[in-house]
Amino acid sequence: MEREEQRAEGASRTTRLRTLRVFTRNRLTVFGAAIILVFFACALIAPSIAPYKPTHVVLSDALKPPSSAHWFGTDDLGRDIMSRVLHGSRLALFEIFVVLTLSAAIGIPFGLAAGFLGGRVDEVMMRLVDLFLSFPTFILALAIAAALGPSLTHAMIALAISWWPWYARIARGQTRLVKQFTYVEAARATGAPRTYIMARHILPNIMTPLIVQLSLDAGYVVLTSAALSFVGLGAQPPAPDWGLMVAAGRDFTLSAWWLVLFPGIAIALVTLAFNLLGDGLRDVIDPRSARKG
Amino acid sequence: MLGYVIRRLWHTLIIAFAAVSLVFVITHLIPADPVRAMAGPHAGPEQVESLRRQWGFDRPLVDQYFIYFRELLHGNLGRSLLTRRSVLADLTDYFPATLELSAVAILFALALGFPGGLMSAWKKDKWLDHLTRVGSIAAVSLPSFWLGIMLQVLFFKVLGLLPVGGRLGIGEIGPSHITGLYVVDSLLTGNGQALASACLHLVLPAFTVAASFLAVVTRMVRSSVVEVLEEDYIRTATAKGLTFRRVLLKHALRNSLIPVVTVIGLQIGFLLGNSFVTEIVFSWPGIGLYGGRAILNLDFPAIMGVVLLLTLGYSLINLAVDLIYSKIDPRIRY
Repeated sequence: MEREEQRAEGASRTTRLRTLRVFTRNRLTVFGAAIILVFFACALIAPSIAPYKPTHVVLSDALKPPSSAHWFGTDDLGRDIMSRVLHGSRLALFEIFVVLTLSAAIGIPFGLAAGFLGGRVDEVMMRLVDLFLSFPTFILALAIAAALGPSLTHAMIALAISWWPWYARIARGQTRLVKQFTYVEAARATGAPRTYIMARHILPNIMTPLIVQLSLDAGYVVLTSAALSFVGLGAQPPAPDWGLMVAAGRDFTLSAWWLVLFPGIAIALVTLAFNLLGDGLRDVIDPRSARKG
Repeated sequence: MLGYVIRRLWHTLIIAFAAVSLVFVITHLIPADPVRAMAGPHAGPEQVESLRRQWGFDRPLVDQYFIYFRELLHGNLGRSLLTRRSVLADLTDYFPATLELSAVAILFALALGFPGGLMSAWKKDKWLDHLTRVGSIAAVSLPSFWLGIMLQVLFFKVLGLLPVGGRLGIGEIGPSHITGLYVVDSLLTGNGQALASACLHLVLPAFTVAASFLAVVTRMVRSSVVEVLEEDYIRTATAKGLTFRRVLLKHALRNSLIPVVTVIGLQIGFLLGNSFVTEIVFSWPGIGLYGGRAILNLDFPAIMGVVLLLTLGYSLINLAVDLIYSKIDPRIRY
């Protein structure tokens, strides 16, 4: 008995090692993971490493190009751009966290229930999902954010409303697959209540593809909420939001390119990093897609 | 086939109806007051109230909803609070610019993406392939509004090669109005000067809109062709002595089109989103610029008009994509 347990443990360690090997073999994935670590670190310690306060206005220092005093230069109000970009990482992380949590919290239970209950209920629930998916995500978010009025909170709500159907769809597909397995049938035979089966037996077993999707989407949350801020519907001044910084710097681009360059690079890097990480995770989970590349 | 098209058109109408209802409900439930915004900061309470009556905002919500849809069925989208013109007339004026920009962007993406993907598949795992793959992942991650601004800095300010924005230069007169598409109109009227200017003005915004689309097309063509190249009939074609180029173009490409077309359909939504912000960056007088202005000024009738137009456009493009399937693959029948 004990030996069997040991063997099982050894096998699971081998699986873990193999997973890690597949994961680290792809240098791009490691690169993505490294950027994300730096991004998290920045968000965590921004106040202690940023050389200036992100909202500190020094009009005499306005529009100074990058120098040793201001590595990324200063904006039209003399604020240090590097400090603002560093502090922007906190805002971006916050946006990722709120939007993904909200979308997952609506979408996953919705899809799970539709897939598990099946029949007419499933039909009606999925038609609703199709309805949301028939708009381009950004346009839907834009319309909702416009209707709610410009603010960061509204932008995040708008993004979550336009995003949850994707999770509902994945969760439903996976649930329909998992609910045929014997252990679900066994749980049902023992008379376990439906909500218990969904939460205890199905949910943990449908999470893998959802996690991949979440990691891919984290980048798009940054990209899309930056676009909303750029249009004027996201964070409001003087918040050090990357999209807002690009929008504010737009009037000065032809004379002071650094206002737009650095926050844009931050958006692109974080989006890229989550894309690479998501791709890597998918390769580990679904080796077929790794071969196809 | 005809039955399928009718069913899909019917679905499109339902979706458009739901979209407008959704936006209507949200816009009218929020505390923001469009009439207050329209009246300006100096208007007294009586002026605001009389404006409210004049525009029908004093009626109960349900009444407003039914009035909006009754008018919609008569082809009346209401009046813009900002331009004080009919929304339909505004959309008719602004839409051709967006259509032209999107069409040129799609052409860009396909014209560069197909050869790129094919080359990448052909030279699989060589440096060209790696370069294409890294480049396409990077391009998907670029915020289009930022890319647009950076291209403006490079090509307008530093190199002085291309104009910074707009559809034509300041003071230039456009071709006489036939379709509203400047390139087509100037071709039809033989106006060489307008044609050259319109084309030059299209380059940067179209590339900005196309960048991420191009990346996705390239990646999809590559992986699809790579997969098809492993099929038995490709080996047969090679075995009977056809050159690799002929196998690639004649046998592999056509059979790998289905997933590519699917992705193109899915990407149209992103393309619309990209063109929305790109128009703002390049002062391109299209639906994005109009919609952006409407959003910032709480111009509700205009916002609903834009949402309606974009939803209809998106659904119709997807219908077109589904119909193209059966042309590419005769096994698919509706």
